Amino acid sequence: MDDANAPLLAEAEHLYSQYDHLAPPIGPDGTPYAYFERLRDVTAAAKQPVGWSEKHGGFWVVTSYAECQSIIGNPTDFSSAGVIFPKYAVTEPLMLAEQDEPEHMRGRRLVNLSFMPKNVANYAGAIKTAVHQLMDGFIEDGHADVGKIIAEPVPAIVTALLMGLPAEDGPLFDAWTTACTHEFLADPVAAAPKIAEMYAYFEQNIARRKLEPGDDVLSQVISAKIDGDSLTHKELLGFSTVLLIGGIENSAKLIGTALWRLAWDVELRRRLIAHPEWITAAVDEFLRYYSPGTVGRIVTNDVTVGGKTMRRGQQVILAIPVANRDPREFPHPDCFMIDRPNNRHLALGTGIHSCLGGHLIRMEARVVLTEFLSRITSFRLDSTLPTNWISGQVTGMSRVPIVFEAGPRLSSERGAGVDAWLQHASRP
Amino acid sequence: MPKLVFIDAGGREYVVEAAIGQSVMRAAVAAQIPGIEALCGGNCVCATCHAYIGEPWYERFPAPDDTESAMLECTSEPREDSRLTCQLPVTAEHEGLVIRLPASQH
Repeated sequence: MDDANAPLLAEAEHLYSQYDHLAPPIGPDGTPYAYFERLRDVTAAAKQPVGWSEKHGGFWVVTSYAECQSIIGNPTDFSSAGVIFPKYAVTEPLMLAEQDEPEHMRGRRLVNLSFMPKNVANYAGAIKTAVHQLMDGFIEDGHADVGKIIAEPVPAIVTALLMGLPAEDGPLFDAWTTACTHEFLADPVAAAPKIAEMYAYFEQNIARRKLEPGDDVLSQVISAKIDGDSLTHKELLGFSTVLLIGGIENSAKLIGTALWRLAWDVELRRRLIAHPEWITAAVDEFLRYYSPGTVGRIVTNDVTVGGKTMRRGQQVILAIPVANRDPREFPHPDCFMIDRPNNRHLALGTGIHSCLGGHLIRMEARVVLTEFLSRITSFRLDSTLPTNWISGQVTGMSRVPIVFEAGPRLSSERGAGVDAWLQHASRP
Repeated sequence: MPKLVFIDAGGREYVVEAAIGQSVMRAAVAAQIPGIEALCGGNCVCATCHAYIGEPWYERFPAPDDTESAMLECTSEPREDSRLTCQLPVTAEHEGLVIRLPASQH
């Protein structure tokens, strides 16, 4: 690079050195996207798709779509053991997510069919019912925090159904997930007993399912044989944790952020209300535009990517929210286009590790947005209350206070899970 | 280079040239055919390259193995002529192959 570009190169290197995926600067809109866009623009102009961050002991950061895609597609030189960095406070490895071949695929085949479209569709009715019952809990009030009372509960209720766990335990799942993925860094003393409680709960449920198998995914995993062997107790705990965290985190953030956007983007809301059939495509654009997940890898062989030599054992973080706004892959990347053609975003991964719950999260978000917009057509952010963007490996809006014209309840019935959530949400 | 004809759920046709030995999925992705997502890249785990291979073409591919058959039953709109296109290698006898796409992969 010639001298004229030296300042640009220095700026790119500086931005990389300060990059912390767990604490990106939040802009005036309440999201880190002004920062992500600047990171993308500077690193692209400096032709530096890869850089070195000094945070968390040092790690490589990859911001371009092409390089992220090539790393995800190269399990020979990059291990999924580094998918979470720094590691979550779980004592058992996260089955599937942190596994490489051939172990990953053996585990994946055990549960894969349960997450295919036809089986996932069996939960659509239950989700629809849960959304309406949750809405009945606040629709007469004219205001609600739909991050807390729609986006958080729905994925927990679905995950409980899928795993054969009591739906009324949903608020606990959420507390445990937060403890494992966020709280352990900020307040490890407060997080530790919650994580211990989660494992004790799984121990009990695994024991119960061994005695009384159901048709849930946990029972399937317990009774499954891999090469003639059953999964060990530790592996069952690892499966339980990944299903819980995987089922709750991404969906809750995706739905929360989508409802936040719809609260102020009147044009987008109007179009989706007029054309609910477009919500399916819009969900994929929400996934691209506000990608909830950032993923990592560990280098297993010395390899050169984007002009940088990565050494065996080093950590790599793929900045998916930045890569999914790469103009070389997505024309007009900062435009939210419902009908974006060939939307091959990386929000749910690609290749052999593409998200197990990819069909489920799309269906959940589609049903929630469709049902929500069918009853509350006009709403806006409540300017007297703060929103809250949760940062971390999985990010998005967690507090979405809205005001709207109050409407009538549809029913006074409440499922057990819904009742527990409404009580939970009414606490300060 | 056999020519393949993809027809989407709305009836639009897309003609694509495929290399011998390439999978139907790879030919579709290379030509950016809308509707073939192929998220897992041909590992038969995601069911997002599902399509219908009507007569006479269905018989001109090896039958689906157990893994693919189990996956096909769980696609959103399975039919008797359903296939995962990542499991279909193109040969010289597939000139003019017609592939019909489902309305959704999800």
